[in-house]
Amino acid sequence: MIEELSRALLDWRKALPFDLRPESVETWSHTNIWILVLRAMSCRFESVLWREARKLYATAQSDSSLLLRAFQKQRDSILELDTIFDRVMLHDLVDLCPFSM
Amino acid sequence: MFQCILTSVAPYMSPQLLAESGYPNRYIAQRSFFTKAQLIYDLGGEKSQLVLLQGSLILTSSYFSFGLDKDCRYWLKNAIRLATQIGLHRKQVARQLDMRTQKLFTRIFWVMFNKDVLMAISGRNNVRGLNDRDSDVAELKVEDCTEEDPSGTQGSDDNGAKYLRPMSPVQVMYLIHNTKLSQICKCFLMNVSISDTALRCKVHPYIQGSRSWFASFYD
Repeated sequence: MIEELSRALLDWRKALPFDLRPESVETWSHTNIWILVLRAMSCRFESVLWREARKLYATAQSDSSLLLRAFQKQRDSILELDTIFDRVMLHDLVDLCPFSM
Repeated sequence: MFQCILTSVAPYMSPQLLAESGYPNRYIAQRSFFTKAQLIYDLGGEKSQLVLLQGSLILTSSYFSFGLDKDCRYWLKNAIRLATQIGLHRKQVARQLDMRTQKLFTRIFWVMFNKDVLMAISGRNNVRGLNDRDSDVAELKVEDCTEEDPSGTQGSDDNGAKYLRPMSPVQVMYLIHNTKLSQICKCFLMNVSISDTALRCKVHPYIQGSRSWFASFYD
């Protein structure tokens, strides 16, 4: 199930239109901040997903490589989330972001 | 609903607007708006269930240290309760209404769905409020988010909706793709939820124990 959800998340990211990707933005404003919010949400979900995967793989006495992969994927998503927050700070966008971010 | 909107946007007030409004800071401004919104709700000042639902949903976006009893969790559950009462989660109810209200119902449902899933994923709520088996609202489309008057309050001008701007194309796309992401999150909550994992961890030794006990009959 974890792999299926991970694949679904990857497909969702691939299907995002160009206008909803951070690289499409020249100047950040209150109308396009939602691009970063959406990205942050997906990273948050991904990190929760792989955190749960680590718990599952640790208890199911499964292959240790799966556990390592889950750890790496969780770290990946946290790093990406960190980058988003860095970008928010860099462009001074805190007062445009919703509190749920 | 006007007070709910003000509560939600108070943290984003510009210093100039704040000075003109007479509040010393954003915190006090937000607390004042929230108190008024809550009083209007508690005293039955608003009769329309739809406006109460919209107001409750707007209050789920606010995070504050006051009003601990009625925080975002309370307002989300209240919004879900009202939506279920109205029948907003059922196609057959929406079908009897005009096209504009149908679109409004669809938008409200999916915003509520996104909030419900997000709060469960982030740990703010330990269970979801909406029952997916009971809801059959059609998927959100661009047409549902574009209309001449996007305020969606059935023409009433006294609740502040006339001040809202139409959704921009990026905001519309955000809402649609956020809904798609929430659908994936929903599958996660159903199949790999935190409680499930904890349960499996706890149940695993018992399953092993019962298997060993059962196998001992054949030794």
